[in-house]
Amino acid sequence: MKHAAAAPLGRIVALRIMLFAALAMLTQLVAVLVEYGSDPEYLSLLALEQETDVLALGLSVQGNHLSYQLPDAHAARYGTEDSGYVARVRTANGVVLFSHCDAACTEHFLPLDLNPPSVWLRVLTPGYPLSFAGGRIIEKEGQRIFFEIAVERDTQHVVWEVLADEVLDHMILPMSLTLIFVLGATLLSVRSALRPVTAAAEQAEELDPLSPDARIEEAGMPREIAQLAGAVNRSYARTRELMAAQKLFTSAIAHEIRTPLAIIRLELERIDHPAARRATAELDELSHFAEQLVTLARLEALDRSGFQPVALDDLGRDIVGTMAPFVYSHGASIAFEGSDNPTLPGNAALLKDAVRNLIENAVRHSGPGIAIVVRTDDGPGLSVSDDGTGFVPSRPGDAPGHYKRAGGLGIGLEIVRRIAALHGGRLELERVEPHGTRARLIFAPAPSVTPDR
Amino acid sequence: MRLLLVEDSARLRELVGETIRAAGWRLDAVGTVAEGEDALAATSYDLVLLDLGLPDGDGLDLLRALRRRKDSTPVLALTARGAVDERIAGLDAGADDYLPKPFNNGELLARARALLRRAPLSADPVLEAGALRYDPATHDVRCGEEILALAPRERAALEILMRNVGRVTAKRGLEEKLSEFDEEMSPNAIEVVLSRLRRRLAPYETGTAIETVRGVGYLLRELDA
Repeated sequence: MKHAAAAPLGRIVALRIMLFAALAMLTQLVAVLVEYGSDPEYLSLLALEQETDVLALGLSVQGNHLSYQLPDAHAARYGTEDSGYVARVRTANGVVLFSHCDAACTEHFLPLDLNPPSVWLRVLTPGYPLSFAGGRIIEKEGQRIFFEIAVERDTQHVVWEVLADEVLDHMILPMSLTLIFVLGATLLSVRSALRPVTAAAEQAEELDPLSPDARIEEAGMPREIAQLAGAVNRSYARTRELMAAQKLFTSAIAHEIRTPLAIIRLELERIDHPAARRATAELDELSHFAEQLVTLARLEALDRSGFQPVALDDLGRDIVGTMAPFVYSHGASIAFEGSDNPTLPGNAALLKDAVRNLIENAVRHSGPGIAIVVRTDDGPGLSVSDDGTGFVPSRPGDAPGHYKRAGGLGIGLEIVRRIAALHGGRLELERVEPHGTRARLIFAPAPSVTPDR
Repeated sequence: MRLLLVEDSARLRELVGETIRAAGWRLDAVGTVAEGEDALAATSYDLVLLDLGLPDGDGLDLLRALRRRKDSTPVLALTARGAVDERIAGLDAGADDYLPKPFNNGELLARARALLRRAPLSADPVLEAGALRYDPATHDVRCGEEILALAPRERAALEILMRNVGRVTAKRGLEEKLSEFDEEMSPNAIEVVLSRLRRRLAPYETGTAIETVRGVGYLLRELDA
């Protein structure tokens, strides 16, 4: 039953959406790379735009006075010799503001006396790596400035910068925005769809399934969840039916069988014949068995609610006093030896039933004239010992299931065992030297409980 | 002595009725809760024998109604032994004792006698156990026709045991009650008193035995005839 609780539905959905979004982005990325990669001329144009945009940052205008300072970002590219990149900045009428030129300038750039077009591009060698020359007019404060660059060897991978920029601008940014909105909307819907489920779960947690009006309210739930709640309600109803059937069964035995048994018992007493005495003895066995069946059936329905501190010495003394008339009338004797009155949380009536069963077993199965001693110990435990022939195992340490000597013994010990288990304890049976049996109930130590004195 | 039996089985009513009448008591027997309530309203009984499972209701409801009226008539519930919740419910409802079904006539009479003796205005104050008779008015202890000579402490101890015949009398309870008669009594002194009492009774055919339930107390029980 105990699985680690799964992650909340919101997180599962969010993770899935993010996974699929990542896949979509990856696909898109591949598509973009393929598309751009198949058109180096367009890439060159983009590279021209990007490079000139950056170069334009170095331009400053003061009135009619123009000055240019190469931006730091491109100092390595356009400020060093033989980098593979050249650039020139000039006005429309041929005044050069900046020049990082070698022979390539005169070879690739437009002549200074030419009034430049707004954009021009020329591919130097087709394909990859990119190699191109081009120029572009950028207007700043009414001044038209002409920027020209030529890339002969793309050693600093301008092409990747361009691609990264494109991917960021046209793919990642818009898709991320979409993702954020989709995620938010989904989580919101999931949460609001789950609100009735959470409420139903809390309601179910509070419910006692056995109380007659135990049901989860289905009204106001989405249809699928209402179906689940309906199924839970039906299983509650079924549990109640089963419990009611069990109660009917046990009370039928308790009341409907006992009265005829009582009548038979009294009728037999009126018959003066040894056969009637034998029948009476058989009837007593039958009554005992029926009673144990009822006890066992009732134990199934019990839990630890309603446990209270039980002082074992007081309980032992009480049950020994109650059982003494029965024990002595069967020719046996009984005594009680207490200890420090260990206390444990439990159901006193059930624990008394367990001890009563052990005493009855000793009287019934350990032979005549035995001496029974009930002891408590600081285990905390409680033992019932006798010095009779006993239902001892042939070998010490036999499994409890092997202690079958007489009818009714098995079920009596099963009752004791279940009561012990309900109290977090167990039953141990062992042979006592030189002869006799000891049955000991051992409970879990309860350090937090202190005896009430 | 007038007893009321509330029991739905007609045959069980007859059988119990014969036993009760044979003991010299009068018995009214009814079969339902309603009839039981009518009978209790009309007549004052010394003891009620009450079955818990009745056709028109729960015997415990009748019992609760009785106790709500501050009626302290002793009630002996005829119920299922081992049925934990029933016993607890019966105790809460105010039953004085329980007799598990099936029972025999001897048990029934013994429990009924014990409850009748407990009644405060009992018309029959003489205590009986086996062949022993104790008259609290005259302090005479007889076995059959013979009067037994007992020391006051022994007689007091016997009286307490006879009031509890068939049940264990806690040693501590015996100590407290005997201390009223006498100086403070130690546990050892109690044992001395009891062993002397046993010796005094030994020559007689009392039909009883005083058992020591070590660690708990003493039990005066009637031996099977």
